[in-house]
Amino acid sequence: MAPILEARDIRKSFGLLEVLKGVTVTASKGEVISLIGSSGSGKSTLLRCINMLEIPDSGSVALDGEEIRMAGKPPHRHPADEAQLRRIRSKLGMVFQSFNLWSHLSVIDNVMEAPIKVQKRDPEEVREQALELLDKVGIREKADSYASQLSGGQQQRAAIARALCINPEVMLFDEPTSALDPELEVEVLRVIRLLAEEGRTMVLVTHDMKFARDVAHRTIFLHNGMIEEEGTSDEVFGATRSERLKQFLSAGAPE
Amino acid sequence: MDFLAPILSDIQTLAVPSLFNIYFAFASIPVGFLFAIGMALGKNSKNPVIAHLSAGYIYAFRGSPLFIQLFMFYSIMLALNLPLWKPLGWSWLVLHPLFLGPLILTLNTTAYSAEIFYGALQAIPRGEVEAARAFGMTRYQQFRTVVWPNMIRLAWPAYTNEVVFLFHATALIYFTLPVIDEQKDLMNKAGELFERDYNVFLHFSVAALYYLTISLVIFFVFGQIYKYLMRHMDSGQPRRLRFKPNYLR
Ligand SMILES: Nc1ncnc2c1ncn2[C@@H]1O[C@H](COP(=O)(O)OP(=O)(O)OP(=O)(O)O)[C@@H](O)[C@H]1O
Ligand SMILES: [Mg+2]
Repeated sequence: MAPILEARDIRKSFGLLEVLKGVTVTASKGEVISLIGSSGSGKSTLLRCINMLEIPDSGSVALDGEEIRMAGKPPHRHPADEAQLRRIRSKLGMVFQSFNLWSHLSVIDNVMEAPIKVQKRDPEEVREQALELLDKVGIREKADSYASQLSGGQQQRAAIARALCINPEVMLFDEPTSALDPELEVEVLRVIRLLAEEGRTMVLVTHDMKFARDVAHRTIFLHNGMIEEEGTSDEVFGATRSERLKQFLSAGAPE
Repeated sequence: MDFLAPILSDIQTLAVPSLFNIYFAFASIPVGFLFAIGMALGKNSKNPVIAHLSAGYIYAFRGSPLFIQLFMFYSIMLALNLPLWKPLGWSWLVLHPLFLGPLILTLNTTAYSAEIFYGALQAIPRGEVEAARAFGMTRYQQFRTVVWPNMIRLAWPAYTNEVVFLFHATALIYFTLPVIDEQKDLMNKAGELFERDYNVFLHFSVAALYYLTISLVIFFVFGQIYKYLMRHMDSGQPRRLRFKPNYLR
C-alpha cells in the first residue's frame, strides 16, 4: 500500500546546529508511528517539518501522494504555493505539547474555527460534529468554557477534538501529555488509544515508552538527528539492536 | 449655601467650553486608533522599509513634546498659507483650530498608541499563532482569530491611559492655536474667569473637576470594555484598570 504520509530525507539546521541529518518517515493509512529519542534529538523539529511550521533545508514532504512544492535555497527555502500548503495543512491535525488553544474562544468555537474558516464547511454540520467529538473526548459539558477554565487534561482533549474536527488524514502529536500531571495524563492517553484503535494514521512524539509500545505499530528512535533504530514496536522494544537505544531505554525515559 | 453659588455658576459657565475639549478628543481618538493599528503592524512588518518608516514616525512623535508639535505644525501651516492654502481656497479649513487641533492630536496619539499596540503584538502567545498556521489559516485568518483579539486585550489598559492623557492634552490646543470668537475650551475660559477676580481657588478647580469627571467616564467605559475583553480569563478575582500617569509628554 502506498504511504499516506512521506517525509523523505529531511535535513534541518538551526545556525550551526544540525538537528536533522536526513530523516525519512513514512506512514501508511491506519498506521501509528511513535517517535522517541532523548531531549534535543530533533523529534519536535521533525514533526514540525512535516507541516512546515519549520521549513526543512532539504527533503520532501508528501501527503496522499501530493508533494508540498518548495522554492528557493536555504535559508530562503519556502513553500512555493501558499494555497497548496494551507490545503495540505488542513489535512494534518496537529496536537501541541502546550495545547495552544485559542484562549479567547470557547472550547466549541476552538473546535469549529478551522473547519468553518479554512475548510469553508457548513457551520451547522460542523457544530454537530464538534459536539460529537467533544463527547468522544469526554468534555462535552465544557463546550462553552474557555481554556483558562479547564484543567490541562481537559485542554489537551479539547485540542485533540479541534484537530479531529478537520477530518485529518494524519494526526501529529508532539508530546501531548508531557505538560500534564500523571493523573491527568491518563485521560488524554485513553483518548489517543481510542483513536489508534479506530485506525487513524498518527505520528506520535512521546517520552512514554510503555505507551509507545502499547499503541504504536512502528517506533522510530531518533538520535543525533538520525534514525538510530526503527521497526515494529515489538522489535524495537523487545529485541533492541542498537546500543544507544538500549542505553536510552535502560536509563528510563529521561525528561 | 452661599459658597456654592459661585461654584455652580462656574460649572454652568464652563459647560460649553468643556464641549470643545470633548470634541477635540472625539475627533482624534477613533481615527488615531485606526492609524495606530496600521502603524503598529507596520513597525512589526517583515518589510524593512515599512518597519523603519513606522518606527521613525513613532519615534519622532513620542520623542518630542506635544506642546512643540502643536507650535511647529501651526507655524508650518501658517507658512504654507500664502503659497498653498490661499490659492487652493483651503485656508478657512486647514488653519482653523477645530481642524488643525484634532489633526495634530491624531498624529500624536497615533504614535503613542502604535507603540502600545506594537508592544502588545510582541506579547501575543506564539503557540496560538502556530496553531492557527498549523490548521492552514491565511495570514488574514491568523490575524482575525489570534492576533487581533490578543493584541487588543493586551494593549487595553495602556491604551486606556493613552486616551485619558490625550483628553487631558486637549488643554494645550488653545495655548498654541488662535482662539476664534467665543470658541474657548476649559482652560481658556477658566483663565478668563481668573483674570476677572483673581480667585485662585475657584475657577481652575472647577475646570479640573470637569477633567476629573470626564476622565471618570472614560475609565468607566473603557473598564467595561476591558471586562468584556477579559471574559475568557475569568479567574474569580475582579481585574481593575490602573491609572499610571506619565506626567509630561
Ligand atoms: N527555533 C529554533 N531555533 C534554534 N534552535 C532550535 C529551534 N528549535 C529547536 N532548536 C534546537 O534543535 C534541537 C532539537 O530540538 P527539538 O525541539 O526538535 O528536540 P526534541 O527532540 O523535541 O526535544 P524534547 O524531547 O526536549 O522536546 C535542540 O537542540 C533545540 O535547542
Ligand atoms: Mg520536543
